[in-house]
Amino acid sequence: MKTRTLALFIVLLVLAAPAAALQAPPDSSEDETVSEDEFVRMVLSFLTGGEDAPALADVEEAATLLDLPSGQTQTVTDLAGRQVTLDGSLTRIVVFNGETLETMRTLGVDPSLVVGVDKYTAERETFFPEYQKTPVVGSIWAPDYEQVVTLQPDAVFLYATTSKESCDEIQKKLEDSLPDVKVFRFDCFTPETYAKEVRAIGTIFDKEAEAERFATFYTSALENISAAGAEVPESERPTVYIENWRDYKTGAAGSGYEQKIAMAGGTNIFSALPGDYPEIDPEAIIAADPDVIVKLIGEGAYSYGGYADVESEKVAGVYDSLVARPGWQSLTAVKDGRLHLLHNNIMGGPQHFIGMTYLAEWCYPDQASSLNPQALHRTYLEEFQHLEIDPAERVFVYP
Amino acid sequence: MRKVLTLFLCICLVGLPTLAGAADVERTLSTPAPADGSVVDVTLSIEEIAAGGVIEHLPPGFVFAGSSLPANRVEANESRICFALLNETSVTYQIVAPEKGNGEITGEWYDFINQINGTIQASRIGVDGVGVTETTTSPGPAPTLIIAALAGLIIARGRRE
Repeated sequence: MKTRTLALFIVLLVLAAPAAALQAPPDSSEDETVSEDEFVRMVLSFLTGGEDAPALADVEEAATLLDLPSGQTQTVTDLAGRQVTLDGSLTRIVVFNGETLETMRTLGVDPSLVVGVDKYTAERETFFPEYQKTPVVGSIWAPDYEQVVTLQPDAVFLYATTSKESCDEIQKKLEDSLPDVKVFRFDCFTPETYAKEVRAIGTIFDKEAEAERFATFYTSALENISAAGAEVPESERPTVYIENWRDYKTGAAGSGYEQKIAMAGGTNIFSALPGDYPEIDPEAIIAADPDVIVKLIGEGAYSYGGYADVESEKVAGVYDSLVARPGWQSLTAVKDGRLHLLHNNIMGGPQHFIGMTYLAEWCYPDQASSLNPQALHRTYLEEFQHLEIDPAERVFVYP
Repeated sequence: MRKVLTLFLCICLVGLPTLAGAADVERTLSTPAPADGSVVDVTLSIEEIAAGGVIEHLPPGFVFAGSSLPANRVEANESRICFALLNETSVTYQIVAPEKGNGEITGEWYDFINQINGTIQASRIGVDGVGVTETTTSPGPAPTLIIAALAGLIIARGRRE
């Protein structure tokens, strides 16, 4: 009887041993980890089998070294000030704003997580080649709710301040249709808040280190811009007129242009006008005689240059048409060669810091060597967007 | 008294694997009797698998059409779908029904961290309900429970002797 009991005990001990051992994985050291991507490839290779498939024991060992995000919940505050609780990694997301999508690429977020994009992103073939086959969910002005619901996202990204009412409505309808969906609101185009948004998006996708790296790069670029005119008293700063792609439409004190001009060391000549984006009397420009004039192109009637337009021969024609405006030949900016065209690709979205660096260079030409906006642009595209686009081969500014 | 202690120890040892990981996977179908060419949603409910995998085998003619997982975590061929799992509590995938045909969807799961695996109870599916009957296959990780039962029986018999 004793012998039988002992034998049974030994058999059970042998059966239980693997389970007891699993809490202390073999060969695991504190420094050695397996990334999520590596592990997923290994698992699929194991499951599908074949000559190169790893052994089960190897996959189990890799699992113990897996650098998984913690399963704990975390709360992220978006730009709208909403606190959103995450209880795991996002796996299916829909993005209605290209600015946030670009920021996600900056942080190395896996594009296969994105199951739906807005129609404007889909139209930007050169800049977003990886999303050309991704389902399109319309736009914030004409959302395709049916498509979004079909895609069953676990998170949707909308603007925080742009077309706020439309985005509020989309959020409400989606939260009604998809009770578990997380909605995040970000803009990703304002210098004042962009670094904060980058860090929040980094937290959402467990890319905190990447977010910190880019935030450092970005804030360093902003500091460089501010340094250009830092020693110049406000009263002596160059006066600037920015006109957007709609003729004679500019920005006043409440506009984004005002902030960007000020950070670049200039003074907005139409700061005091009522409204954020007033249309001005052409005579007012002649009367103000600004030191620097910047015309934004790339939108509306001036959809030339930038990432999408390689030929860009029409850009020079835009410049000539501005010089030919009544009275402009006598403007100081025109006579001094300080009338410039600036593509909205590098002024309006996450790349605003590149356009602002050009603006600082035009305000302070003697600082050009320390600003070098084209080198900054190239670094951004190579290191953060991983695009093989040389900004020198396209027209983002003219002349 | 010694025998009681031995029995207690044996039960504890047998119970260890269960304590280490209570993973399980169950499958539900939006319908077991789809119409010809229609899409069936197959949902795998997953319990406590932090890092694992699932293999699903489809009956002839049924075609995989997409899943709730990112594309880089899925491998599919004509009759087999493999999913890499990372903390998911459910995975839904779609299959398209053929013109005619029936059979069982069978599957296996792996919990690589707790080093356990098992089978997923088979689900019968048939176009227009043809061939759909009660499932007969038993689910997964029974070996430890069987051993525990055997151990109990042997020891109880020993006590009677």
